[in-house]
Amino acid sequence: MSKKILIIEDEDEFFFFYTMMFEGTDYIVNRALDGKQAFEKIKEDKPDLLILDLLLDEMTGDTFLKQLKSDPSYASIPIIIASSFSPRSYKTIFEIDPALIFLEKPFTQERLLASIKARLG
Amino acid sequence: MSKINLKGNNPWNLLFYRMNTAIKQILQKYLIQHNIFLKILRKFRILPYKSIRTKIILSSILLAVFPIFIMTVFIYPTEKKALQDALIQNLEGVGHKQTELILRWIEERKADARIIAENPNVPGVIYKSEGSENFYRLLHHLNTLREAYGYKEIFIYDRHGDLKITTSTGTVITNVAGFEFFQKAVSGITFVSTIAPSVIPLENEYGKLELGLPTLYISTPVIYEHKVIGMVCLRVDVMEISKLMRSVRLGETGETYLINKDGFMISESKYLKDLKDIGLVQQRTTLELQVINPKTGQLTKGAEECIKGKKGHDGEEYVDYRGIQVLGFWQWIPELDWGVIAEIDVKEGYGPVKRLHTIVAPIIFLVTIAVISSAFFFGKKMSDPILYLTEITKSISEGDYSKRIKITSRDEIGELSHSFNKMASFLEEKTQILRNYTTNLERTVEERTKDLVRMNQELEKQSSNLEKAYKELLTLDQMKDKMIRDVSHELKSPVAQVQMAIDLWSKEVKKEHIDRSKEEKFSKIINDSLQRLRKTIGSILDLSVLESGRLVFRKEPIHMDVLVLQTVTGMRLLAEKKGLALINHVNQGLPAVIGDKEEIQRVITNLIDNAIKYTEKGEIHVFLEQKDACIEFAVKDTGSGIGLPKEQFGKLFERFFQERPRVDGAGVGLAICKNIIEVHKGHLWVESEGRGKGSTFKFTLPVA
Repeated sequence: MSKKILIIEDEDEFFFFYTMMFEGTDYIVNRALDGKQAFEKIKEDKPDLLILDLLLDEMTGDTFLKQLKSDPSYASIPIIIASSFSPRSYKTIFEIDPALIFLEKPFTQERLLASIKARLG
Repeated sequence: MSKINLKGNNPWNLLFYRMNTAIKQILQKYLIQHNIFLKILRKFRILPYKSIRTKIILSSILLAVFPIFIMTVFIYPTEKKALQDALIQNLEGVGHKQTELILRWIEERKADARIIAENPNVPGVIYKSEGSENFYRLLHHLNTLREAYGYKEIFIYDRHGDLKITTSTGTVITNVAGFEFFQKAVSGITFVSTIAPSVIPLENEYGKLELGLPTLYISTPVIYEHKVIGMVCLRVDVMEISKLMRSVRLGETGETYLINKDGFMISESKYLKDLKDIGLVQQRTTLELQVINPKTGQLTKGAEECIKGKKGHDGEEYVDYRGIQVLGFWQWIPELDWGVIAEIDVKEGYGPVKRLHTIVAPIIFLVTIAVISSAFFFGKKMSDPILYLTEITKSISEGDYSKRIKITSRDEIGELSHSFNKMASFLEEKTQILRNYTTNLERTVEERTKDLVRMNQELEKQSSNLEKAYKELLTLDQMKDKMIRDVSHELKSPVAQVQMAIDLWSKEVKKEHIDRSKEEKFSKIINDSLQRLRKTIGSILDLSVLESGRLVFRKEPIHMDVLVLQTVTGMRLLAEKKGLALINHVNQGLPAVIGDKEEIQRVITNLIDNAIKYTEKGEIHVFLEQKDACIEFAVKDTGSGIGLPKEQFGKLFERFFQERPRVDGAGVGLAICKNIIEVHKGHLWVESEGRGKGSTFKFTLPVA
C-alpha cells in the first residue's frame, strides 16, 4: 500500500520541488496550503506522514503541531518539519514532538527521501 | 435623760437607772460591734465604697470611739473594784466603831450598876427593906440616877431574888430568882442579859403598856462583908442602843444595827417607818424584825454569816431585810452575843459612780455623735476638695480642658488646685495649638490627598498607558520577532529556492532524458527568487537608510497628475494580468508639489502594487484631486479590505506589519511609503469598510 504524504506548504516553488523529488517514488502526495486546510485534509484522508512548513500565516507551524498532537486520532502521524529556519531557532518544537525530523531548506532529494524513510520505516 | 434621784427607793428612779444602764450597754455593745465590724470589713476589704471620705470618717470614728471602748471595757470594772474596796473599808470602819461603841456603852452601864451596888445605903435596904430611912434616900438616889442616865428602871434584889427596891411604879416582878440575870449576878458576875421580850407589861416608847417589850437587864452583885447579899439590876432603855447605833452616820441609806443569835434585830432600823408602812413590823424592829431576805425568807447573808460568829463583808451586794441590794459588813460580838451589821445600799455605795456614769454615758453618747458628725463633716470637708479635684481631673482626662478648680485654701490642696489649674491651662493651650495644627494638617492632608488622588489617577492613566505601551511593546516585540522571522524567511526562502532549483536541475541534466520544460520552470524560479531577494534587500536597505536619514530627498516641483498617469500606465499590464481593471480618475491641471519625484513615484507604485496584490477580482480606481491646500491621491480597490478594526488601521503602516499573508515583498512597503509621505509633510492613511469590502489608500501632499 502506497504511503500517503500530506505536504503543508504555501510556497508554490517549493511544492514544485517536492513534486520533482517525489518523481519515481510511489508515495501519494497531497498538498495543503495552511493549517486549516491541513486539518480538513487529514480528516478526509488520514495521511501516513506529514511534511510541515513552519511559517504559515493563519496558524504558525508549532501551533498546528500542538493542535495535531492534542487530537489522539492524529497524534501518532509521523511528522517532518521542512523549514528555511534552522532547527536551532525552533528548539521548542522538539518538546511537542520529540520524534520529529527537522529538514532544513534547502535540502536534497536524498535527504528528503531518507528522512521519509526514517519516519515511515 | 433626767438626773437620777437616789434619795430613797423610788421605783421611778430605779426605772431611769435601769434605762440608762441599758442604753449605755447597748451603746457599748453597738460600739464594740461596730469596731469589730469595721475591723472585719477592713480585713476583708469589703468596704463598699472606697472613698477617701469614708476612710477619713471611719478612722475618725474609730479614733474617737476606741478610747471610749477601752474605758468601758477596762476602766469601769477597775473603778468599780476600787470603789468597792473603799466602801467596804468604810463599812468595816463603821462596824468596828459601832462595836467599840456598844461595848464601851455596855461597860459603862455595867460600871453604873456596880456603882449603885456599892452605894452604902444598899445593904441596909436589902436587909431592912421598905420603910427605913436608907430606903427613901436610896430610892431618891436611884431615881436621880435613873433620870440622869436614862435607865428605864433600877431594881435591887436580895440574894433570894426578892425585890427590895425599885424605881418602877408599874408592874414589877417581885421575884427574879428564876431569871438568868439574877442567877448570874448573885454568882458574882456583872451580867448583861440578852434583849428579850418582857414578861410583864411595860410602858413602851409610845407610852403604852406592852407585854413582850424588848428589855435589857444589866445586873451586878451587891457585895457586903465579902458576901453576895443581893444584886442590882438596871433595865436599860433598849432604844438607847438604837440611838447609839444610829449615832454614826453611814451615808444616806447606810445603817448599822444589832442582831441577836436568832437573827432578830435588837436595834431599831432606820427604815422603821417604811417597814411599818408595808406592814413588816408593828411597833418596832427590835425583836420584831428578823433579818431575812423578803424574797427567799432566808437570813440575809450578813445576818447569817454574822450569827455564825464570823466577821466579814460582802462587796458584791446581797439582798437585805428590805429586799434591797446592799453592801455589808458584819461582826459578831461574842461578849454580848450580838452581831453588828453595817450596810449601805449599793445604789448609794456605787451611787456616785453610777451617777457619774449616768452623766457620762449620755455625754459620751453625745460626744460620740458629735465625733461622728464631726468626722462626717470634716471628712466631707477634707475629702470634698479631693473629690472635686478628682471630678475635674476626670473631665479633663476626657478631653474637656476648660474646667478649672475653684479652691483657694492655702493648704496643700489649694496648692494642688493651683498647679492643676496651671496644668489645665497649659493643656488647653497646647491642645488648641494641636487642634489648629491638626486642622491645618487635616487641610493639608486633604489637599495632599486630593493631589495624591489626582496623581494617582494620572499614575493610573499613565499606568494604563504604560500597560498599553507595554502591550504594544510586547506586540511590537512579537512583531519584531515576527519581522525578523519574516525578513529572515524572505531572505532565506528565495535563496533556498535558488539552491534547490540548481540542485534539481543539475540532477536533471545528468539524466539521459532531460525534461526541458523543467528547465524553464527552474529558470523562472531562480529568476523570481533573485528578484524577490533584490526587492527584499532593497526594501530593507531603503528603510534603514530612510530611518538613518541618509536618504536625501530632492526638492523639485512635481506635477502629480503627470506622475500618476505615468505610473498607472506602467502598471496597467500588471493589473490586467490578474484580471483587474485599473481605472484612473486623475484631474488635470493640478498645482505642483515640492518633493522627490522618484520617492513619490515609489509610494504610488507601492500602493497600486498592494491594491493589485490584495485584490482577486474587480477594479482598482486611482484618484488624484486637490483638496484645500493639498493634493490628494487615492487608490481604491475591491479587494480583501482591511480585516482590522478601524482604530488599528495605523498598524498597517508600521514596519513589517503584514495584515495578510506575505504575498511577495516583506511588508516593509507601507512603512516606507508613510515615511516618505511624512517627510514630504503629507499624510498617508487607509479607509476600509472591513474585510472583503475593499480598501482605499490615500495620501496628501501640500501644494507648493
